[in-house]
Amino acid sequence: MDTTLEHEKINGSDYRKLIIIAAQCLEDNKEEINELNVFPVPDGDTGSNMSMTVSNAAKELMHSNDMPLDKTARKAAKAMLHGARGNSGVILSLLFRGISNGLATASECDGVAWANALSEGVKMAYKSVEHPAEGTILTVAKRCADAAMKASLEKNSFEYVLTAAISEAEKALKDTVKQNPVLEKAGVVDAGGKGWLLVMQSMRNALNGEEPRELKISEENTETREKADFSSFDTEDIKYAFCTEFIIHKHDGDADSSPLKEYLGSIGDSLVMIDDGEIIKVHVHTNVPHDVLGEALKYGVYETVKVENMKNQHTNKLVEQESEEKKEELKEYGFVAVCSGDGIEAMFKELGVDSIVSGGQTMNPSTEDLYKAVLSVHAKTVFILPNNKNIILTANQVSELTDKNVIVIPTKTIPQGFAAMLGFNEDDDGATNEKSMIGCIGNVDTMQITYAARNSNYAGLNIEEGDLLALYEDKLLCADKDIKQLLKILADKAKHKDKKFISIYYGSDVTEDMANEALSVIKEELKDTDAEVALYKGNQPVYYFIISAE
Amino acid sequence: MQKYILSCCSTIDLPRDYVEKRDIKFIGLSYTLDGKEYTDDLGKTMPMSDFYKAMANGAMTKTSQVNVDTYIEYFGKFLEDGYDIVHVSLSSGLSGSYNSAKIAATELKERYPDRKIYVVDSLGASSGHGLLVAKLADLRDEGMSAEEIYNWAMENRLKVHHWFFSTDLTFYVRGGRISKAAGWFGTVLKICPLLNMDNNGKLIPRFKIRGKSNVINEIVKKMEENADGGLDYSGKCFISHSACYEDAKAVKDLVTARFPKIDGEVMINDIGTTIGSHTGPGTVALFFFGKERID
Repeated sequence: MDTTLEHEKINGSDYRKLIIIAAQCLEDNKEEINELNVFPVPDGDTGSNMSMTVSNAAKELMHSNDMPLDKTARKAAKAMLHGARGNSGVILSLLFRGISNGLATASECDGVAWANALSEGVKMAYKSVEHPAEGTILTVAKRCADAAMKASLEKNSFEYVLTAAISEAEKALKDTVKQNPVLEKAGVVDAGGKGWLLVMQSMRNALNGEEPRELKISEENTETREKADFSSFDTEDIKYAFCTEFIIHKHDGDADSSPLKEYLGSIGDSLVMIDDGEIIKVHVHTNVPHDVLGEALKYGVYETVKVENMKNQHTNKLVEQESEEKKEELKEYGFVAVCSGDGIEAMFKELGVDSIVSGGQTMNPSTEDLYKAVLSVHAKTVFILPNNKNIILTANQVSELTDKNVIVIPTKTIPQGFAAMLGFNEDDDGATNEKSMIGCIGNVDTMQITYAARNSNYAGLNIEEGDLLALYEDKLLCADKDIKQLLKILADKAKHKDKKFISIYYGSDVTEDMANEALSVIKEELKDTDAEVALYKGNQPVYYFIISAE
Repeated sequence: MQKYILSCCSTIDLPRDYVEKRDIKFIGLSYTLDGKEYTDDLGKTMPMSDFYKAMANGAMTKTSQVNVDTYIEYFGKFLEDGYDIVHVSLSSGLSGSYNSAKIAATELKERYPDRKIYVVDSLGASSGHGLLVAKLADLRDEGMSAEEIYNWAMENRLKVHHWFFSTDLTFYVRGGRISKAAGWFGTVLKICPLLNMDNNGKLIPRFKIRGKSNVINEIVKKMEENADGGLDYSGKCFISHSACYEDAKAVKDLVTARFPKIDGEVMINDIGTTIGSHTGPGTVALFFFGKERID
């Protein structure tokens, strides 16, 4: 890029660089964003989540050649959708998805197009967030887009519009302090909003000549290409002899591939076809593989082709494996739950959960992680229990990625997850179950005891790092150095709400003696009631005790 | 008026002296306990506490329906004495006894063309089956004919509500009443399933509830929601249990306090051998009249 002139337009190659530089910038500055967290409870770090989200796109783009702008934007948005973690990560991915929609037919992006794309991003993000709050990344992005719109009328230049957007984002970020009382008290700006400002600023730095370097990403590598689900085959005898598999790179990503699907259905069985907009992956059993390959050629270029005669006795391992998978029939309902701690996991399994995604408060799984878990469950409808308020939005994105019917039950805590499972009834349909499971969430109160991850003056409490914190639902109830004091307060709360069954799940940092002591403290507080108290080894991290009252 | 016998299967789970006092005849289903066969005689041969103790200690139980020949013999002697019969069988959703009774009745019709046997599928069980029969005994005492109480029974049998809960699911799972996969078997989490009887006379698990106190409250809430007149319910109410009298008593105390107009004392009965073979110890059931069961 020539750095001396103003960049009135950018193309696909430029956009690719912008995204890579943005990922680099978030990675370099993630600690600074993480530090902005004022809530004393240990949780998933905003900076790290945003960085991992954009990095997923950067990695994809680094491994591919320059493409037209619309394809680049779509590829980036898709990778972010897969890699999104935490609420801020998901919102960021939604902003980029909207931007990609805004650039859908463009080969170049000028000031007007960029302003329009930013607005599309904001629209997409607002649409997907149930209760958009002021003083967050949403407000920063919105003001940013509005300013861009105004600037684009003054001068139709990408750089001019971006610069205007950045200066408004700076102001909007400062204002977040006043918009949110918690931030105001701590005197800091919103972490997600800061992340968005960094993204915008880094884009301008990229225009001004900053060059991508080898991107090092600390967290796990996430694979973005989907795997074909070969599990849903019939168990019938071999009617069609040739197991035919191929991947086609599409000429035109937007080309409708449903006629191909229909054709394949007419000449064979055991059909699995995935069209992710760039590639079409097909698995089909047929007697006319040559015709199939000819037909599919209309859509693009072959990446790989494999044809095998299944009637041949020397079938290879792959087919064996395949037929083994065939035996498993799709059941009506399956469940994915997010949790950590082997005790908690075992209890979810006892309640009928098929797949556990390890994660929770300090470790927010990505959309991709949840998507993979959903794919691994051999069921037509899969319920996801996020069990954390920072994972619900991520879970909501999964249905975009799969044909399976995905229902997210918005559970915010582990006990809410358990309660939701109690509301499930296999004889009812999906919608009835969704309603009943959500209804059951309301039956249970969740209380948790953890430690303060940082000094904080939060909700009128003067908290030192390492203090014990008691949370009632989402709210910080009290802080103390004495755990018994907190347990008594929580038990008293349950007593006043006339709850009859108290469960204590103790964490991995709690000894059995400490757990039994907690049990007797709570039993003592509830001795005049008919409430039962049960103790479970949850082995969860972060929370010494998760206590539920129902 | 033509004289008739009010008869039922031994699965009504009412006390033997009550049944005798109300002049209700019954035919005993048989069961096998540890390889030895018994005929259910409402606890006379084997006290229910012994039966559940044996089950808890791992004794294997099996129940068998009444066969056609036994019915022919049982019905035959009443017909011989000039009585018509209204027989109320255990739910066809749980046992084949109803079918045997129907076949026997058809055969006997040829032998005793002047006599009549009305067979009612109670679509009920335990003291719910008993509640229907007790009500029919009231109507008989008020002077209703055999045909009239048969018609009444057919019209009202689905109005008897059966709600059950259990604190020990071992036997439900063994008997295939509850599938392990569907999460009903949450023993570790102390899940007490709340079941009821559907309109086909089958036991259906409806709700999973944690803890005994909660399920006791919930079962009484189900009565509030479903009983005729709600809290003003003025019919009879029965409770039955399998070796967990304290839990049954807790339900009774709540019911008595909340439904002051109930007809007579809320009777607590033992769940008999037939139903008990499926539930094992730890089940409490509550029965009352309400709006017709539709699912």
